[in-house]
Amino acid sequence: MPADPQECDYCGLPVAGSSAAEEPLYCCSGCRLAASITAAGGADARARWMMTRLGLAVFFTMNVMVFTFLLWSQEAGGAEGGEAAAALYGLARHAGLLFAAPVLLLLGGPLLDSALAELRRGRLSLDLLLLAGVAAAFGISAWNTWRGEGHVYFEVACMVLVAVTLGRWLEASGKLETTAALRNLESLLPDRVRRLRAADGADPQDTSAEGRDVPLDEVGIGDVLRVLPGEQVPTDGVIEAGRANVDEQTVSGESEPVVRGPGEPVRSGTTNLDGDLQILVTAAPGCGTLEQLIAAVSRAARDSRSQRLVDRVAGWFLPAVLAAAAVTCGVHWWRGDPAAGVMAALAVVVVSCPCALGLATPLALWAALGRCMRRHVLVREGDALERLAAVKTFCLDKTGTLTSGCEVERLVVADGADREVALGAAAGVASGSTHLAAEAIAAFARAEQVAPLEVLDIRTAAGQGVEGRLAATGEVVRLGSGDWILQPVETDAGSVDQPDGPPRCLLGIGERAAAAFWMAEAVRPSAAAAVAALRGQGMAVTILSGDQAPRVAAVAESLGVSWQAPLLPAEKLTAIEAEQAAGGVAMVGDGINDAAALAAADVGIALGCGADIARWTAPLCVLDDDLGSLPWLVDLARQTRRTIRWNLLWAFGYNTACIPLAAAGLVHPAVAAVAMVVSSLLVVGNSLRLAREPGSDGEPEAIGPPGEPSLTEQPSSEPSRPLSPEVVR
Amino acid sequence: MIEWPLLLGSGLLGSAHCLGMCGPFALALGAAAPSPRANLWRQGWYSLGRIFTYAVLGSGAAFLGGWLTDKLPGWLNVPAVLAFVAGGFLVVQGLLATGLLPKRGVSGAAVCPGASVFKALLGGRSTVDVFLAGLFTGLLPCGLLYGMLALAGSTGSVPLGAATMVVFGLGTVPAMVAAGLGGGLLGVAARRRVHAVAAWCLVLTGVVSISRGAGAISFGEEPPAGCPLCAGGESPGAAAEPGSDTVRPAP
Repeated sequence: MPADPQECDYCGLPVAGSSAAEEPLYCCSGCRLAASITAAGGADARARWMMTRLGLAVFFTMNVMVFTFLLWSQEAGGAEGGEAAAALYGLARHAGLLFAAPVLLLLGGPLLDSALAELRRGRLSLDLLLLAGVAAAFGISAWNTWRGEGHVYFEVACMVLVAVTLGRWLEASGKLETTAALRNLESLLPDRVRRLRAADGADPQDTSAEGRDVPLDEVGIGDVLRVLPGEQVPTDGVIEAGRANVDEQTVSGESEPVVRGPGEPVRSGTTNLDGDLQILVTAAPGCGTLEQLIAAVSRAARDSRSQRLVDRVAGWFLPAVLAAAAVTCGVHWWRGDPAAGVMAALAVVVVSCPCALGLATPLALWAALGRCMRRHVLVREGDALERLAAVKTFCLDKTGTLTSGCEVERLVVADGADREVALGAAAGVASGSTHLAAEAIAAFARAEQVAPLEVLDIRTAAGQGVEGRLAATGEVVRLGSGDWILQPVETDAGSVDQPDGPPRCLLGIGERAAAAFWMAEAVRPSAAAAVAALRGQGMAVTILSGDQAPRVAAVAESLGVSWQAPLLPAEKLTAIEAEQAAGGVAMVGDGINDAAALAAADVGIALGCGADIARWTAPLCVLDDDLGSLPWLVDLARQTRRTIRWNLLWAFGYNTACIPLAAAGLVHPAVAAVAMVVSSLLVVGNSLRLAREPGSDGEPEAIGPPGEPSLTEQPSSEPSRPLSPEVVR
Repeated sequence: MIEWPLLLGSGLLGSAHCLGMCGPFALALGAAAPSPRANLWRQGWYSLGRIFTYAVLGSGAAFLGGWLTDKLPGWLNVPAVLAFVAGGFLVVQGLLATGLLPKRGVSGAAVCPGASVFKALLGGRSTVDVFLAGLFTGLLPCGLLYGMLALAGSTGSVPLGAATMVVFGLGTVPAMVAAGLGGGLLGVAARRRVHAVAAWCLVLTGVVSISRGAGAISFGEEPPAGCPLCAGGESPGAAAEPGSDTVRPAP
């Protein structure tokens, strides 16, 4: 097998062979046919002709079948009738010849093309065998018709041609559908871009404001591109000029657009919603975020244990079929019935057409990958889903995985300050900020049913907090970190036990501090439902955290799961190995902090990968941080495993059962042709069912709201991640 | 011999019930026609394609029926069994249409990779495309069709089987052409009434077929009399026949 697998030009599945550089490469003749049928644009007339060709062939074959039924019923009825019957008999044979010849012309051509193409590459192919069989069947029948005695097999020639063509075309369509998700991603990248400046100065005329229209392939590092509102960002880069809301859902799963301005990075595949951007390219051609994402998923689809098994079998499959067909033909010939020998050999070849075998794994896997992609889950290893199906224990990290953001745990009001006024003022000024702490305080006020006071001139002080002016009194209100509020808080807090250290956030009104807020981590809203669903699937769920034991215990208790804390990274590994004694373990955690634990588990599932491709070390990556994706993934993994096993079982079973029957001459080739189509349809249909979401639009198995804020707090022992500039400390 | 009017009637009345599935095809066919005249031409070729497929299927079913009659032991009256099967299909289809039998909803889009090509054929300009679209329409799954095929099978003769299906197919032409031409000629209420009548006619056709099958069996030790529909004569009272207890007046 060649080292670098190429992809089919029609369906995108990997192709084992290689072709001359320019000519299109297809993984099967079905894809070649389907490509010619569905070819868009200029080839439209030709595509329609191909389709009409197949239809006409079916029409002629149906005619042949009617006359065949007539012949068969006459043969079965014996010699009754007389001259009229004999004349009808002869007429039916000639009619068969008349209607079978066009089928041979219409459908034999494409099959011949594909067989010759394989032959030029020095390989025998099933197509060649099929064609030889069909030609023999037609030749014998035509000869027998002409001399007026012996069997005719026109229906065999027609049925095999139609069935092979139809079956392959159906398969190719199935493949096309399962790879649709990936192609949708690819279509996010424009073919041509507007280049303002080339890094090497290759385009002196590129100085115009409009820029020059160049193919995306020609864009290199250091070029400057112009991206207009509504356009896709074609490659990774840094904004040189302009500011825009950018929709990054494709690569980060984040449903809210983010504002990007000069100096900030943008990624390929994201959408510029409303600004005129000039982007300095930082990625080499084909190395942008989206391209890497697509490449990672394509690699995953190629690499699967089941597929390797099928590849090994396929290696000796064709020679074995060839031998079986030759022996079959030889034995029947030797026993004095060459025509029956040819028919039996043809039946062997038709029955063993390994379409179903070759499709069994990749179709199901691609279907599953496509569904993952639509739910913003990336699969880096093809085996990951198969391994996930066998997992017995889910280990979850706490901080950033089960928890996100924060909530007000405690509010202490300064002596002499009114609690309602303080909270109202805090909520009022917090309304001007989107920071998590500010949102938590606003939510807290709502929960306490305190209406926010009107605050004017709200302004964000970067890294410190927000401030404004109370509309009622004109006093300055500040909400933010302790250093920023002028006076230390004067409360009776000294007498209160403060296990959580100093307050996260102070409120100052006028010249004095009025209140102090203590924050606690908020368990993600989707966590409880996700954990319950996992347990419902028979999983043992446990929390492995590096955080303080009391905090972990609180979260674990609220979710009703076991926990181990505090654990050093090395201790997490030991804990996972201990769990592995009971069966497969999936570890869910942060892509960076838990990288070692993710690698040690049977399946690592990373959350919070965001748009950073380099951080996808885990085999599975939940881009939008939705914990509801975990039980969904387990379901999908089990379904995928079931589908693959069923497909393989069917394909192997069908071939091993039918080849001996066909060799014995017990399977009529026309019946074998129909069986082949049905077998392919079963495998394709079974896999396509996997590609479809249960239910129509919504996903009934989705748990919790999608789109958790991905900006998470890191208050404890784990290294803190950068927060937004307006952070409140 | 064969009661052709009954077959034609089944097609006529059955097609009113089948418009739910095939009506949209006829409409799509009409949408691509530049004029009503051209539309009529297209509808004709489309129906011709359908009838051709029905005929081929009918000849196959008849061959199979004849073959089974030859191969299976004599005490098994194949035509009668096929008449039972046909009647059963028709009764079930009719009852489904009346709403007495709960219809199982089909969830999700059909898994048919051929749909795109079918759509292209329906919208095709040339007569060949339209004919082919009709040809493939004839292959779509349809309970009424299976019932009729079982009847065709019970003839045991290839030409007769094909003829059975041609007559049935001709019966479906008026409703299909009307659907393709007018679309909304009938109001919703009128359509509902026609639908209800058609449904009960289907049930009736099924019961007749079943009773003919039972009549053929009652010949006892005599060789099978061929098609039970040809048996002619009195059909035994429907109420006494197996399966007929499913027929009740509409509530």
